[in-house]
Amino acid sequence: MRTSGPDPGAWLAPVHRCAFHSGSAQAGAIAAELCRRALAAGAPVVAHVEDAVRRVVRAHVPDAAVEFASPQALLESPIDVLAEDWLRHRSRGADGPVAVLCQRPMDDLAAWRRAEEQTTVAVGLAPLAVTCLVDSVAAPPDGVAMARGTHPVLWLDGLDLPNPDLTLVAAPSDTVPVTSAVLDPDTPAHNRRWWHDRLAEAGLSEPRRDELVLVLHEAVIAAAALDGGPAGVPVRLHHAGPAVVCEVLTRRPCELLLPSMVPADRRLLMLWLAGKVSPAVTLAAVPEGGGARFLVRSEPPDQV
Amino acid sequence: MSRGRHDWVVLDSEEAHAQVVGDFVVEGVRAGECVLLTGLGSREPRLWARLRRAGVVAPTWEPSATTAVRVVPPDPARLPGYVDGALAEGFPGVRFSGALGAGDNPFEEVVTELAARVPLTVLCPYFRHLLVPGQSASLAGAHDHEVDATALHDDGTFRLTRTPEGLRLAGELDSGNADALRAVLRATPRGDGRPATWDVADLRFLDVGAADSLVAAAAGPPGLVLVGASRLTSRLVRLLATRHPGRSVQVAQADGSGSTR
Repeated sequence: MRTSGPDPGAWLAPVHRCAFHSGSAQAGAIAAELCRRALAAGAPVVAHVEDAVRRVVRAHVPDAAVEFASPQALLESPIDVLAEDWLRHRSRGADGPVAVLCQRPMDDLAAWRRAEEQTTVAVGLAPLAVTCLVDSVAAPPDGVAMARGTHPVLWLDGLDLPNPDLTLVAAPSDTVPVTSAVLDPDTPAHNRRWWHDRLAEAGLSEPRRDELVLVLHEAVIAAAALDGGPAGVPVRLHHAGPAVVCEVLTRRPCELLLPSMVPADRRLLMLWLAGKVSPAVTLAAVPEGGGARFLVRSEPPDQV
Repeated sequence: MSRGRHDWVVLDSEEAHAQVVGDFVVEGVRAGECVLLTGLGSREPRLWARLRRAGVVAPTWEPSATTAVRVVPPDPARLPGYVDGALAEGFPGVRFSGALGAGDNPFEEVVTELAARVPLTVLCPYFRHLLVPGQSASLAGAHDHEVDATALHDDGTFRLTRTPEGLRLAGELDSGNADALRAVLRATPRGDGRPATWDVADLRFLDVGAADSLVAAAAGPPGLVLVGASRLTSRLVRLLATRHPGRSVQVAQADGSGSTR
């Protein structure tokens, strides 16, 4: 019996990856493969690609299934605006990722770097699987080096691989560092008081602090479990506009946490559940270096 | 605690202090009395939070010279003035407590005299680790009654006591505190056909692992009733109850209203 619709075995993880290639034909082949995989997982696809790549994709993938957009649009709007547009392609009620293909036209290298760093942050906060197609022959060497340093994941021979050349992401330009520390995972009550005090200094009121501390407590435990019980877990706290963002770092990579999917790694289960308790707190796992960063964000009270 | 008594209590932890002195203050406020507190120092924020959770003060409340709960200086000579002043304002009675350091209580003599002539109720809280040999016997002779502050479990972070309705959980409980989790489950009555009832109004933190273990182990038929749970704790246990088939948790307010999951 033949069935249609998403392949229940397929799964599309949020990711910010770079697919290096040489020439339009190879870019088209990679784009077509990624489109097929996304569609098999039931994810909508938005492709900001040049005409040559568009033709290859059209030849291999049902035309109506992919929403094509102008590559130039990638230069005209900030990433948060683009991300909102991409997420609108999800069908009503769906919470799985949107697959996005980006073939960014060459422009100012600093702007390109900022866009890549902001995309990594966006992928941590919203269900997006973003693939940047970078022509390693046509792009300038410093552009290729920048792309190597800013994408957490590389697409190589049909596989996602952690990027060994990833440079630690600088804080987004609109963030204001508040504090950083290394917490002892064996003193959870002390750690919770530390979080409470720092969050109070950051201006969070008590009920919201309680909600955030629950997730951060579980994040420190999860990070320690992933790292094999280290003496210290690095943490950071900063303002991002009106929101307060806390980060808990682990040296080991971990799966991305999707609200709709129970994590396969049991060490992440309690953290994942904690992330579902409060609608005002968002949780994401973002690749960072060879490890990961749990991003716990409290939205300002008037936006929840 | 009836009006006009001069009682004492021996405490094993700061959590016990917040609970026992907090209960004393809450009872006084609910009776319309003026409550005078002294020597709290860094314990003030925890006690004020306790009063807010109990609903006897507003969320933004801070004590002042005109509120029902007042902080007075640690000077026994000035206490009669504060007591007489509160009574002159029309309060039907006055309560006095706070926190005591090591050695003799400088207020004992003055409160003994005051309690004999005005409606003053006193609770003298002594920390066990500060008592000197022989002090308990002399304190028993100087007070009307010793309040029983015995806990089923008290490690300074989490405190478990028994109440007429069930159990009272206070402080912070996380999955790393296996002794505390065992104490809760051991003390939870089984087999009488009624849901177990836990007062969690003073449970300031409950992590996911601890909540999951407790719901799985204690919320089986005929279920578990949580009284006074914070919004966060309510959401957490409701979420976890869905993970365990056959478990039922009713979240009830102190007035008896509530919802079941």
